[in-house]
Order: sequence, then C-alpha cells, then structure tokens
Amino acid sequence: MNDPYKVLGVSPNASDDEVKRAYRQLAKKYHPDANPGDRHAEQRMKEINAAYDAIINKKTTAGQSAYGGYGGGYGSYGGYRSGRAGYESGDNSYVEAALNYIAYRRYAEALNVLQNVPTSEKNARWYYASALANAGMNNRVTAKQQAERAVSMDPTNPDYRDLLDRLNNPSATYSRQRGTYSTSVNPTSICFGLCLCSLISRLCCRGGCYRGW
Amino acid sequence: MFGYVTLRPGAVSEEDFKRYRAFYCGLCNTLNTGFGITSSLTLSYDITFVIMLLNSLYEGGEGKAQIRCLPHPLHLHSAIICEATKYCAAMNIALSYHKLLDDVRDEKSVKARAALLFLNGAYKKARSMYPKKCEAIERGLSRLCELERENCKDIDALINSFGNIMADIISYHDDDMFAPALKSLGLGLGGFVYMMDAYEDFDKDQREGCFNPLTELHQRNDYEDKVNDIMTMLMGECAEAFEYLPLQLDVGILRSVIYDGVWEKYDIIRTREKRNRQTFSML
Repeated sequence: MNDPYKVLGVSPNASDDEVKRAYRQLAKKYHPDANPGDRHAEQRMKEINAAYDAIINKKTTAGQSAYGGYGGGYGSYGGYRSGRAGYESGDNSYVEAALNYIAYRRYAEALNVLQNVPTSEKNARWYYASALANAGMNNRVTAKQQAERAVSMDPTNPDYRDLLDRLNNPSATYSRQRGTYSTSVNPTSICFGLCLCSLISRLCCRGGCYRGW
Repeated sequence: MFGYVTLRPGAVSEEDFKRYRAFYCGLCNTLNTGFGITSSLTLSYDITFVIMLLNSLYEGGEGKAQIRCLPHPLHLHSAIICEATKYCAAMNIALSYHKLLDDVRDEKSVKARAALLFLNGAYKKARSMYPKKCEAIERGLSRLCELERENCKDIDALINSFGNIMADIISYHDDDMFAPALKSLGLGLGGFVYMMDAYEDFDKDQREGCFNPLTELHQRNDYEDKVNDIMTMLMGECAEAFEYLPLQLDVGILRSVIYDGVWEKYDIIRTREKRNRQTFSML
C-alpha cells in the first residue's frame, strides 16, 4: 500500500483530529455519491479508506482493532494475527484445534472443540484458548475471567499476561479519559470517607454519649 | 430506552446544551408530525445521542426551525432535524413497541397493553419505512425474552442480546466502511444500558420476583466492584469504537455523554446507597 500519510496528505506526526479532518475533506471530494460512475473516484475512495484505517487502527488498542472491514468482524478481537497463538509441546489436540480455528476467526467452532476437554484437564493453555475464543465472540466477562485464570495458573507465561493486558486495555483507556471529566463523583472515595467518619465517631462516642446529631 | 444515555447537567457549554436540546426538540417534532402525537410517548434523550452521532458521521445536512410545542406553548425554541432524525424516531418506536409486546406477554401488564394501542399506528408506519431493521429488533428482543424466561445465567449472552439490537440500530448503513465500528459502539452502549437497567431495578425485581441478570453476581462480596468493572468494560468498547470514527461535528457533546453522562444515574444510586448505609451504621 502507498504511504497512508501521503494518501491523506498529512504528516506522520499528525494528531488524530488532523487525520480525521483530512479524511473528511478527501471523502467529500471522492465519495461515490458525489461522483456517480466515476471509476477513478471509486479507486481513490478505496485508497483513502484504507489509509485512514491503517493510521487510526494503529492508534487504538495497539493494532488489535479491526473496524475497517479490512480485518472484518466487529469488536477488538476481530483479528488475532499478532500474539503467538502458536502450539506448544504438550498441547492437548483439542486446544491445538481451537487455536487453529481462532487464527481463522472461527470462534464458535473453537469454543465447541474446547468443550471436549474434561474439567480436570483444563489447564492454563485451555483457559487461554477459551479466553481468546470468547473475546472473539464479544463474551467479554467470560473472556476476562478465563484470562485471569490462565495467568493465575501459569504466571510466568507472557502470552497469558499479554492477553489479559489487552483485554483490560479498553477499560483502562476509558477510565483515564473518564477521569478528565471532573464532574463525576467517585463513589469509592465517598465510601472511604464516610466509613472513616463513622469509625471515628464510634470511637469517640464509646461512653454512650449522644454527640450532636 | 432507559434515560441513561444523556448529558450530565452543566457538563457542556450553554451553546452546546442548546444544540443538544434542539436535536431533542427536532425528534419530538418528527415523532408528532411523522408518526402521530401518541408516538412521542417514546421520546428520550438516549436516541437523541444516536441522532447526533449519525449526523456527525454522515453530515447529511440539518434543517433548523423555530417551533412552539404543546408542553412549551409560550416560547419559540430551536429544533434541528437531520437525515438521522426520522430513522432514529422509527427505531425508537420499534424498540418501544416490541418491548411493550414482551411486557404484555410476560407480565400481562395492563399499562403495557394500553400503551401498545397508542403505538400501533406509529409502529405500522415505522415498519413500512424500515422493515428489515424492525424485524431485527423484533427478533433480538424475542431472543432476549427467551433467555430471561429460561433464567439464563450467562451474563455475556444476556448483555449481547440487547447490545446486538443497539448494534443493528446504530449501524445505519449495514455495510459501509464504518458499519463494524458503529456495531461495536452499539454493542458496548447497548450492553451498558442493559446492565444499568438491571442494576437500578435490582431491588424492585427481587421484591416482585422478576428476572434480573445480576442475581448471581449480587451474592458476591465484590458485587459493586464487579458491576462497575463490567459496565466500564462495555463503555470501554463503546468509546474505543467511537474514537475510531472520523467525527468532528458535536464531538465535545458526544464525548461528554460517552465518558461522563452515562454514569450520572449510577453515581446518584451509589451516593444514595452510601448515605443510607452510613445512616444505618450510625444508629
């Protein structure tokens, strides 16, 4: 592909906003609705879309996002091309098969295959594969639980930790951004404050006196 | 929808708030004139967010008018109508209609039956305009009801059941470049709304013996943390998809809703509970 920054006419240091502005300007010009039947415009639009996706996808969850239709499937786990979902010796053949399915984004089949493993044989790798498949199906609660399980069963494995980090990434990014909206009240800090106050007042009122309130 | 997808009061400038309000007025006006006066039963700020989101993405042009309306007959105020307004009005009617149908079936609610009568005409119109989308809403809500009736314990399945409906609604063009991102946004936002509704109604559902997806979770010591976790994950997905979109128009308002406004009800509930607990512990 051509240099996506050149296609959009922005510098490689351009901010998200600049990239988006450039995209919108070009899209107005080359959109098929504005150029019906124009093959050249259609081709340009494809390049512009691809360039946008290449730049903006890189800036969200480290390349995991696949919204552009170039990775297909919606949700961040559309494409597990990165991450070494490779095979390890001692891999149960069901887990092997599941990881294969996952590489081709066939998450439902992967989950099906994993069901064949009896509970007593569910090792860290099984939980890892299951977490990947569930993430692909947008079963985020289960995926996170299973990734945590894999990490706790084998804390030294970097793949498992990596997966858990990626699963937590959107929440972490979101919470950081949310924190900049200072109108929101933090219930945890209120709770701590109130608990502290009630503890102190209980200690002070040991003698059974009724202070004030 | 449930009144969760809104702006926190005072969160944006007066100018921005007026614009937000104008889209809401435009929606109300469209419901009344396009679908009949009783359809404005379904009016909400939640769907106003979707209107502004789609308008920001597709920028198909806005019509502005100064109108008077029944609840506010004395003053003229601004209304903005865009291409997404009619679509979202229809989607909201369809959502409300099918939700009421399910309420009638499951809870035999008399109120719901009455409300349905009012919405019949409006729904017929919505369905003639967007048959595929209405069918998808019907299927989705049916599926959700089935899961709830079976006492489903799989919280992901329940969340996604409602989330997928929102995903369908928000992805206006099913197959354009931004459909996957819009679907992901809808999935996260819809899931959050489903969780918030369950969280808010938990005590009432327990009292009335109604299904609540948080029943199992509620038995844990870390219930509040877990609920917060899940809702943050859902908004995290929603926000990530949102930031992928090349939005410029009204982006401040939209961000304020996504990152802050959606938590307003949650914060109110938490503060009230802490206050109640503190009162009890001091007695």
